[in-house]
Amino acid sequence: MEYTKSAKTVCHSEGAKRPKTRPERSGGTRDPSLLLRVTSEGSPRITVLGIGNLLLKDEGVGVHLVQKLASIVSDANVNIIDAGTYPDFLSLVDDSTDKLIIIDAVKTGDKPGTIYRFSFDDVDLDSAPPISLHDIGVSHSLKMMALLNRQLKSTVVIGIEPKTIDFGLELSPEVEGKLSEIVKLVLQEIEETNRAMEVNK
Amino acid sequence: MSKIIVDPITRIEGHLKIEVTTENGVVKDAHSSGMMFRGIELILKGRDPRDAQRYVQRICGVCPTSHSIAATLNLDSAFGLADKIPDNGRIIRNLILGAAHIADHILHFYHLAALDYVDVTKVAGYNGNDPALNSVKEFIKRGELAPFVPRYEGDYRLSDQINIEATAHYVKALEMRRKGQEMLTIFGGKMPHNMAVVPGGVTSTVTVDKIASFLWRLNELRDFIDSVYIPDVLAVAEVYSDYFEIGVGCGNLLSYGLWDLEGGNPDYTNRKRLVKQGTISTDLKLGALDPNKIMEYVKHSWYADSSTGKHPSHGITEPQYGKKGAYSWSKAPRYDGKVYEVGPLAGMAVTYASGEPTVKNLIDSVLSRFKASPKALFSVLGRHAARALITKYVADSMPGWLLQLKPSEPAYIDYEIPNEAMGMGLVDGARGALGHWIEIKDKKIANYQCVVPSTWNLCPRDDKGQPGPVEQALIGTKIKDENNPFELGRIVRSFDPCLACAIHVITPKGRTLGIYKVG
Repeated sequence: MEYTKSAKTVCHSEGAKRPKTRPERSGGTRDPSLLLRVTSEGSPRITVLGIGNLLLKDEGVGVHLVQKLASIVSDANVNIIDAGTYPDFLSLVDDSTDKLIIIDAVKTGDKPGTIYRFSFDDVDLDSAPPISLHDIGVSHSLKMMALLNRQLKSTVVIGIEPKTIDFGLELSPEVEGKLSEIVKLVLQEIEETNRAMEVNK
Repeated sequence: MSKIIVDPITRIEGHLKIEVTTENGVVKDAHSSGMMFRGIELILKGRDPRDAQRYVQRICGVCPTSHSIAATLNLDSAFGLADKIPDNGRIIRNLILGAAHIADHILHFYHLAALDYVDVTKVAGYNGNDPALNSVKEFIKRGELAPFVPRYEGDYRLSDQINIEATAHYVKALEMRRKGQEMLTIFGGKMPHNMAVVPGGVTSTVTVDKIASFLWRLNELRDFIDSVYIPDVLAVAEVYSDYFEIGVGCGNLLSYGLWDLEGGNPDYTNRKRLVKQGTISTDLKLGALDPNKIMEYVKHSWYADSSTGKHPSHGITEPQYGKKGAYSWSKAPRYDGKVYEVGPLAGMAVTYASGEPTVKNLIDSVLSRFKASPKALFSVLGRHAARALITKYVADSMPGWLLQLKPSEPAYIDYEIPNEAMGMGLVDGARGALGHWIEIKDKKIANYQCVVPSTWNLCPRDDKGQPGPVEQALIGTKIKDENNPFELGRIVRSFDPCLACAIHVITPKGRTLGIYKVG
């Protein structure tokens, strides 16, 4: 899918009245359902979503990564999903997710293997041409979640610059060589989320 | 004479280009070009045959489930297991495929096709308390019209009230799709790309709580189908009834059938299926399904001419982009040398003509409401109606299947991979006839070919110059306004085209993402 970096910051979940910040540790404004869940579990719900087509070499790097992560991460509060090329992949994300980490190939023309980390607020989803459900998966999925009043609290995209997009199962050496670094980055993301969001423990 | 090019056709899966030439407002000629090359066959050569089921699902993010079933039937037949699958395995496969079809047809009608008929912008005048409608209203107020645009203007005929209700149903349908996916995962393990459907049966077990959990979701979906989906399709048909005569197409339909009702018959072409196998034409005469009559032609496709006229079991995928006279990545499959349309309409029409009482009642009740003859099924609205009715037909059949499951019995049978074998898997996916063929040598895949539904429907001309089904459905159509050719979108989308396997790379435009570089 394509999206555009724009000068203005666009937050598409405004319609869903998503909370701008995590509720305070104490005080009476906390969403009661959130309070219940957090106190019973103690840890934030994290979803890691790998997107891509496994049959198109580097295009499938997101799926390669979640497959790798699934054998490393066993934390009960982390849900790892291989979304493949499912067009409406955000519907696969559980409602109780506090933090969503999307892993996908990101093409900017930079050196293959370059790693990016950005949030949806950093890219303008609306100016992408709506080509098909596939091509606009992220922006549509976000809007559809908003229509359902589902609140996505915090989303980060970990992107990897691909080298070869062509039929085949293997990754290019440039991308393959970065996998362990990206895994570390995701683990770090999980760690930081745990620390920042953990309450009542 | 003027030319209209729609590239890409939006609100479909994948990338499709339609080019039509018009004369005095009538489509004289049409060309449908699948713009994406599918190279799965090249990937599978030399691999363990069991890999096929895993990899072919990845062809498509939308219909992975249909591919998993076709691939597994294909491997079952190659491994000599086609008549040995335990009933639990057969039934669970049916339930998984049923769940996928229900979710998919709801997606197609509400989220891809309905926007051709429903004017979402009317929600701007909504003054009620429905949170979903108020969300849509907010979107419209802010000028954020995607995902409801782009669209062609000029022919929205529903009343404001129905437009608003249908928009609320659009939102409700998002939730229903999700229910369908959840239902699929109860036995399928995950969605997309289920893990349960394998040669020999399924890997999941039958438990009472799985059955219960499936059933309550199914009941909710059945309620939605009966009280929302079908009434909405009829409401659209009521005011757009001219579309019972528009987009007729080639007049030949082909169904592989789906949802196996018996396991002991190894022959997929005549085993008992809920939706029946066969061919039917506008004269409503039934023909038996004979897969030997399928050939693929490439004169107008970007493949080497030497690979034309092959049966898929001996098919060759030899790309030759830019070949003179070619205009599509899609091959042109033909049945008995003739052009055939595939999809829910084909399955329902074949089952209807065979006299199956439930389907006969369903279709007759719709036809009598519009005082139409069965010939009216060959149309834009006929396709939508058939899709809605097949959804009801399978959803109503599924509770009975759940009761046939036996918790203590196996769902899988063990097997050995043969040194050499040929296989064929035939099933109707959500978009129609899906065939997989395999040749095994030295326990490895020597050849693997898929002929997918959209190849049938969106194919280019064949070697004899016969246009494909969508091309034929477009030719002769009156276009009211060449700047807003909404007729074209409605016809093409009625086929539920899927040319997926889309490339999923994020390509940010404008300012570089360099500032977000971390490694």
